[in-house]
Amino acid sequence: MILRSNAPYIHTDLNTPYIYTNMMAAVLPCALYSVFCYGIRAAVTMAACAMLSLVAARICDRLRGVAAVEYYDISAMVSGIIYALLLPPGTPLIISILGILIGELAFKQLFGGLGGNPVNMAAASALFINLLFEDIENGYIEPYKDRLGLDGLFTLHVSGDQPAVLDDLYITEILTGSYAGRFGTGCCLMILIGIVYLVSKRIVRIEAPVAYLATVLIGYCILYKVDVLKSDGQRELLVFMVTSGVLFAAAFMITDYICVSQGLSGGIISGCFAGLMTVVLSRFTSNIVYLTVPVIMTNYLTYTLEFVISSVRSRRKLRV
Amino acid sequence: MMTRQLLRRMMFELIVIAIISVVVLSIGEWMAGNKADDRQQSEYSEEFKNVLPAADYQEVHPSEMELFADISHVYVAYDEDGVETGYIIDVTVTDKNGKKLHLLEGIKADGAVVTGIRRINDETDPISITDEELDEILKQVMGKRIPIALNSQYSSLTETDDTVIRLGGLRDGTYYAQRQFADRKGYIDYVEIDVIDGIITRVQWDAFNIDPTTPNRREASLTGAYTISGENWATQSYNLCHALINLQDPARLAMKSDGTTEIVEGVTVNIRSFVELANECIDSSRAGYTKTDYYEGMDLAFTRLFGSGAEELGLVNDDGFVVYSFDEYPNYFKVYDNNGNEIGELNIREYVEYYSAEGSDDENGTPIVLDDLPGSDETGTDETYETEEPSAPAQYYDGTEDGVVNGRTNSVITDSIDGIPMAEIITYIEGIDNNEAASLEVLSALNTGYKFLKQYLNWLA
Repeated sequence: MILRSNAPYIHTDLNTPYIYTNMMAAVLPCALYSVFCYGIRAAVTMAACAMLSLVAARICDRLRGVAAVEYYDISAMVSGIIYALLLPPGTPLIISILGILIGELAFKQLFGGLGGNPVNMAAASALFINLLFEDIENGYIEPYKDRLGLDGLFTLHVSGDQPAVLDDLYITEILTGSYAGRFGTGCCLMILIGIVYLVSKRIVRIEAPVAYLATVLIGYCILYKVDVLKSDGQRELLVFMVTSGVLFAAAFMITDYICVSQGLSGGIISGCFAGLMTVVLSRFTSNIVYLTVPVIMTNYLTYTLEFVISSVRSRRKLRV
Repeated sequence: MMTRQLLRRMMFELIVIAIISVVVLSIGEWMAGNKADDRQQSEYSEEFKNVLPAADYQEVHPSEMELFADISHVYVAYDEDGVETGYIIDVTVTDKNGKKLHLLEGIKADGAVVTGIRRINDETDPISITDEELDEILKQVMGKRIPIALNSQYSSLTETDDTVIRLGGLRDGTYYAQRQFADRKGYIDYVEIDVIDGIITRVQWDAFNIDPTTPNRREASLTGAYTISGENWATQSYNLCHALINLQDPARLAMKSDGTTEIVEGVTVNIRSFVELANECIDSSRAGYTKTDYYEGMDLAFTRLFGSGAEELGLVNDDGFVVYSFDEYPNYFKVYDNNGNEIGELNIREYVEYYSAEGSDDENGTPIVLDDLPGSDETGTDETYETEEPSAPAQYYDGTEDGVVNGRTNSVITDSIDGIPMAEIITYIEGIDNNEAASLEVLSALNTGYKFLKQYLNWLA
């Protein structure tokens, strides 16, 4: 039988299932950190978010009459896990699930489903849930304490406390994520393993995340007048970079193929813009806001940015 | 498309990533755990430096804390060599108006000396005491032994000294008595009292089990393994012992014919064993028959019965109690009259006296006849000593009157401060000028710490 189809005819390893399977592998260290620190609670939340995201995507595809794709799409699962890793550990499961449903419907399916979402689903869902249930920011739990405990997970009430006071923490604790933080953003070593894996597999391009982190680093020093020559200043800078979640955002949200420009100039401009927004917002808003809003705003600007970049390229070609 | 080879490679990579992650996380937890301890110690050092300076602090959660609702935390302080130097007690006392005072108090392990007090200042409705006033009282109690009372309290008590009733003829020391038979749950009750200056200053009522794996009754009641109606057994035991310290005489507990009492708040258990054993201890005190003598007496009983003492028979448990129920020898301690009628049972002291008496060389198991008992022609032990009545009009408790207390409306005598007998108070201070109420609350906090430590460390035992 001869199959006839339209272009493209070029086949490469870098296809959607491959990309998202690798993304899943890159997220694995953070997911393991989450389970290692918060136990069954983390496993249940991540599993629920991942599965629900996948099922919701399939059901929506069916309802919209979209034919099933010929490959197995796990992008929804990856988004679900990244979203779960952005939640405080004391978040009740029902709120976590609500975030997935809203994210899947409002930020993805309304815009055409897979590949059509204008913003990063995980970031948008996490922000939305945080604005809707401000109390979840009181859901921080000491790591390693009660790995088998499920207190509050199946209720409507947030269990836990305020985030850790970072001033008293030792550097080793900060680097290993041994403090009360979000499910998966706390351990920079795990995030770095994920970044190294993605870069080594050439799944992501480094322009956008590097520009983002560099802008945050420089912007923070300028805005907060950090004296990097003094140990106090170095510690302050390190604590912010490692504990605020900007590393997580750089690894798993700024690298979003769909919503962030990944070319050289597009990536650098997107990264710088998101980084600048992050630093500015960090002065006035809560952690989840300055982490997700810059990503979402960058996502919205991506189309304009891509248009401008392609126009400039076209003019240059014409001149040549 | 994902080929099988690609999938296999990905699985391998996933496993490698997982292993690396777990190793990094494990190292991280280990390192963080040490740091967390360091930080905790640093916080403790900062918090306790003015209360009880030490090289190391450890928070403890002894079961005795359940008996003291005012105490929220207890820390043990250690020096550089790991030797226990003292205790820091986090206590919140409430005055009669519901106002609170939250203090950290340091007490030295050696000599129960106050090492410092710090106010936490987190009370929602605090009592009226300024920092200067607290400093003033701190100067007076620093380096002093607990329990502590105000001079004015001592004066007021001596003025009404006619209310003090004490049993006559008590000799100082530790006295002990235990049941000869286990109850149906296998528990053998025991009572231990301390007498200082002729006053009962400590009473302990508990029961150990003939099954070595079963915890004692007090511990079992705290863990929920031994349940009764009303307050848990440990609390009731504590209340009853406390009442006996106040009343000084088991007869004044007004035990009813069903074995209960109505005059001790929170006590609903049958107190017959307690009363009988307490009476036996008091008799022993009058006879100078100490706890050591009691165990020697038990050894004698075992030697006559089995040919060797309790230790050799392996009847002594880890806590030093002789665990044996004479169920197989129900008549061993029974006393008969000349007609062979059973008229009672001997306790260990009486048993020893009987066999130590001249000519009592009966064979093993021979029934004990009344005429053979030493002093059997005299009046009973209880009548040998009279209660030292105060000069005030007769206020007499008759414990045999089925719970009736004659001629007295207030069932508890007042010669105690914060539930501690006056005889036990070691230090008297002036207190704060013009703020006696606050002084009393600070001292109440210190004395609560004393009562707790007395239980926790089993002082005087």
